[in-house]
Amino acid sequence: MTMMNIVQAINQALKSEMEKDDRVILLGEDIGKNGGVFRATDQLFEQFGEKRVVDTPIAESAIIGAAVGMAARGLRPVAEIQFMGFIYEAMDQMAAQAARLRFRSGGTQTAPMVVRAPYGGGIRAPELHSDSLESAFAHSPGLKVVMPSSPYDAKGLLIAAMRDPDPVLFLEPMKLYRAFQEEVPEEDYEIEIGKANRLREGEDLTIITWGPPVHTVKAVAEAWWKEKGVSIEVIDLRTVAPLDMETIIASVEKTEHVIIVHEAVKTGGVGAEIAALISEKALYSLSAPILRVTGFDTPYPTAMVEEEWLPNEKRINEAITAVLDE
Amino acid sequence: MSTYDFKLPDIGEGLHEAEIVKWLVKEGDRVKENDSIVEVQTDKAVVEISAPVSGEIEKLGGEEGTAIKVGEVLVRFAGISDERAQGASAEEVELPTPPEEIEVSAAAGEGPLKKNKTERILAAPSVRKAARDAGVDLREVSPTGKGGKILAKDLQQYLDSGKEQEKQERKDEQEAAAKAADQKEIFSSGEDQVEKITGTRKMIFEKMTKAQQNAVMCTGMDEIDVSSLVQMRKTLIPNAEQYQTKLTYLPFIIKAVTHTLKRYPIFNASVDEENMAICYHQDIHIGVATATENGLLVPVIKHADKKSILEIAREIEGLTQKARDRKLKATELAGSTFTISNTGSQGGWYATPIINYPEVAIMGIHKIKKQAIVVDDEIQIGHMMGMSLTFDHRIIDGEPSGRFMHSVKELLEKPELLILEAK
Amino acid sequence: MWIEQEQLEIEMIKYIDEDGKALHTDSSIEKEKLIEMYTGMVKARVFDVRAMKLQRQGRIGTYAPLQGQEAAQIGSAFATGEKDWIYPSYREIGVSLMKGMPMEKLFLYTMGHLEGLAQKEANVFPVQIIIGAQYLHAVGGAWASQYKGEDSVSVAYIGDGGTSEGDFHEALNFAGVYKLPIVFIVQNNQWAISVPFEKQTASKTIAQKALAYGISGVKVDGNDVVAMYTTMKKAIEKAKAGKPVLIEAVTFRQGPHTTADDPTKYRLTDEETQWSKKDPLVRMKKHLIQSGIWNEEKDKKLFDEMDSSVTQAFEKAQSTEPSQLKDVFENIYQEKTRQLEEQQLQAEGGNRP
Repeated sequence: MTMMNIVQAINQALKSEMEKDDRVILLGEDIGKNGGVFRATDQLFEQFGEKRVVDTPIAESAIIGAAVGMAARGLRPVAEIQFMGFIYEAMDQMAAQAARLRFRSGGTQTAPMVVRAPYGGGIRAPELHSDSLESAFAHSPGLKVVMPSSPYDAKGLLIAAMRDPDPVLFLEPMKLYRAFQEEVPEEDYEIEIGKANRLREGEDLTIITWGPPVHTVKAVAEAWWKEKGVSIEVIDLRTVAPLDMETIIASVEKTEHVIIVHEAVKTGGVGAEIAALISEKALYSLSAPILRVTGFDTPYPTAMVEEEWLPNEKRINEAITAVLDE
Repeated sequence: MSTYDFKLPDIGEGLHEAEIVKWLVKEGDRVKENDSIVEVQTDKAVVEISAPVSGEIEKLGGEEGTAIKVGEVLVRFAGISDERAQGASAEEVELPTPPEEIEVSAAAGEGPLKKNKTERILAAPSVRKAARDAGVDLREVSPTGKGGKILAKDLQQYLDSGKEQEKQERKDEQEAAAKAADQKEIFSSGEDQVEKITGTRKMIFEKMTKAQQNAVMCTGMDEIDVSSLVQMRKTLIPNAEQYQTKLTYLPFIIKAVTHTLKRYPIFNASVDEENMAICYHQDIHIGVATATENGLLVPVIKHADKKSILEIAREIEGLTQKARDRKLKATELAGSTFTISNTGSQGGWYATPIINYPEVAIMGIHKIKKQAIVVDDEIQIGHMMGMSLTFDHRIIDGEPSGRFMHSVKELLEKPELLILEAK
Repeated sequence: MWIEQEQLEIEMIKYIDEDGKALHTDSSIEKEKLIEMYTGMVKARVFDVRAMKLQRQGRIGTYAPLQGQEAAQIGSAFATGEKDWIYPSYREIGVSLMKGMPMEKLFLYTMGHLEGLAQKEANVFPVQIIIGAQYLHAVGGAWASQYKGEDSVSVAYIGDGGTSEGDFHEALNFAGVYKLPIVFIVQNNQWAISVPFEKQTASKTIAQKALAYGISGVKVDGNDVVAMYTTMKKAIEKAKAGKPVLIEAVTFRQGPHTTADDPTKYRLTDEETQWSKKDPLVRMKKHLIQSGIWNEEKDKKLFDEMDSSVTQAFEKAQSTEPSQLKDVFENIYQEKTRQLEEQQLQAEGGNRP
């Protein structure tokens, strides 16, 4: 066990998998000599050389499109999109190409590849650097979308993603990259994609969340227990596509009250999908409306208002009061 | 030789009709497959259509300059070889008919479809479900929640008050009876006492009537040598006590029943009369019919198949306590998929239990008594228990019910089997 | 220094003229190969003409005809080897056939059969619908073969319209930077649905675009199968030596864009007549007859043979078990998710939604 932060955990996952499997190739902008703008690929260029850690021209569509071609021909590319907001450039290659290759080739071609992208707000970044766009990809059958919230999860999920037979979009919360450290095993291990993590058990209310808000929600849940004796169950989804239906439904049946917290904008978000799922499978367990605490339906705002725009403690507390008051 | 109707295919992408521009053939002409026959104009293009079969043109589907709809006959061919005609019709694609234009009446949205607003009930889905399961019309429940919302506790209150009322009525009845008896002494004839059927009694009344009116019930009976079970329970009682749990026979019986339900899923089902269907339940929730001073209650052990005997024992204890204290939640009284009726030590040796409708079977278990039995041609004293199984004969035959009873019997006569199959 | 495209003199490579006369004496292709290419062209033409008719009879779905482009497709495909990979658009039926794709598979595809998607009989990537997207897959494929040290070239096809896409630029740029074993073929058939070549680009030629990426470019008469074949052979050699190539094959789309299109709305019959004189099959047939290795009788026999093999293929496709809704869930992920399992049950009429 070593104490490490998310960037270090990601770096170690890439390194250990590249040592084991020479089909793994990294490609992206500034990931070579520079080690990535967040240093996620630090020292990998030095260790594995320019054939395996490739600095590409600035062309998101080509990075992902070429990765599709590589993966179909037996390699295991890990592409980096420098900031998730830039992935719009490559929307076709993600949603219409990587996602569908298995289907549109009748199973004769596959694209086992990982696309890594930093995302999320709270770091006063320029426009299109902070957006959470997971729902667009959760809406593309064929893709898996993984969103770790801790160093331990980041390493285990990234290794699982690199070994997955299907394309995985691996989203890295920028705000948490260096926010804290935790014990992470030195050896490699996998965390199953598609399984949520019940971070905290509770009886009165379930909060479902993923990515950066996980930590806010955890703190809020602890406070409600200490101050008011309200017991809140916290589920960190870890993967937003495919959703872990069992864990969600089991929890809702137990607590009968649900809040969903995500940074992405509200309308058409993954939270809406979860709410629909609950209404299909556990409506009669509900004792109150399902509430969502999310980003607002605007472009990600400028730095001066982002803290208020994001789901913060105040907004989560208000939602809890409203749900329990039902 | 036969004829073949060539219907205008959708040759654009989502075409509805086409105009016949020019016929390249006339009636009576002989054409070969793939020969051009007509030019048509669609919304998108002028295209030439060729013959899908070889044969004689018997009839053209329209004049030049007229429109023809997708799916209408463009050309009728005669003199088709039967094999080809067959092939042709087999490959014929079922074309989606364009939707008929729907007449929109000005009155749409009004009339009987509109609900009376005053009937609107505010309640969470969980409360609605509990009310439905308990047979309660939510309109009768007084809300205490914000904005006139009916809360779970309002429903509970309603159910309890029914019981209260019933109790009061029973008291009144007894008093009246006593009074009547007093009066009898002086041989004066009294008035008959009329008691309103309400609350829990009304619910039981309605449920029983429904079962009797709908199901065709048939009861089978058997006796079980539970000597080994008696011994086993005795040995386990101290262990259960370590967990502050009272170990009765019921958990063992429930376990034997859940094993048997897995073997014969038709018994863990319900009847959906509206759709003429049998619904096989995935989960096994065992209702335990219990007589309380408030009337017959059926608390439910959810997922009984996934729980240990100890867990079931504890849950029964908890539910019984709650029943006595009248603290059972409506949700704890709903959702059973199979019911066991325990007639207790005061009950008879057999019974004909009434199905907990729309379930399809109910098992009665009766008192255990010592009895002389024959084992290996010798007379011994055995602990014998009576068992009855009522089933809905509309969907279950006698033979499977025999197998069901045999399975329960086998598991209870040799309870070690429960360990063998335990999960 | 100013650079103007007027400074460029880009000559079109041509081996046979419109009357079938050989223009080069150095063409030393064996006569068997010539006949094989002509056979491939006839096969593509007969398939194409039949497919158009079948669509009009409502027996197959939307179809994108290749008529007029047989030489560009057959000549280039014939030059590739077994280990080479093809990344086609929807119009490369001729290429697929030449690479050994069975005709009934192509019919199954146009009939909307799920099985028509599974093309494992040849090294041909699935048909691409998004214009230009396959250029990047070809880049990735070439990159993989370079990395693994395979003796394989990736060959990607688009039309003139495809050169306007960003993916075209990104692909050529990557290929140049990484010196990939790749040949990009643009069949300049003059029309991108209704937009003519001169409105697609201000470049005089497509071949010259190669210069911007530091790769080789060449302009070929795309209706001359010998020129196409010979040029493609050289291009593959270059690509294997780390010099990617962009080939502009000048040709003409004789038919509509697809069966859902009517070219009379946007182009003059004059142009069609002009180009029909340059028909690639007619030209090659004349050349073969002039070379003394072909005659009318053989020609008729070849067309008849192809006609009946197309009929057979279509019958085979028709007798294939129809696809069922429940089958669509099979190739989404290697392992079906819980959601897909549930929806598949639903599709089979099992559970409620």
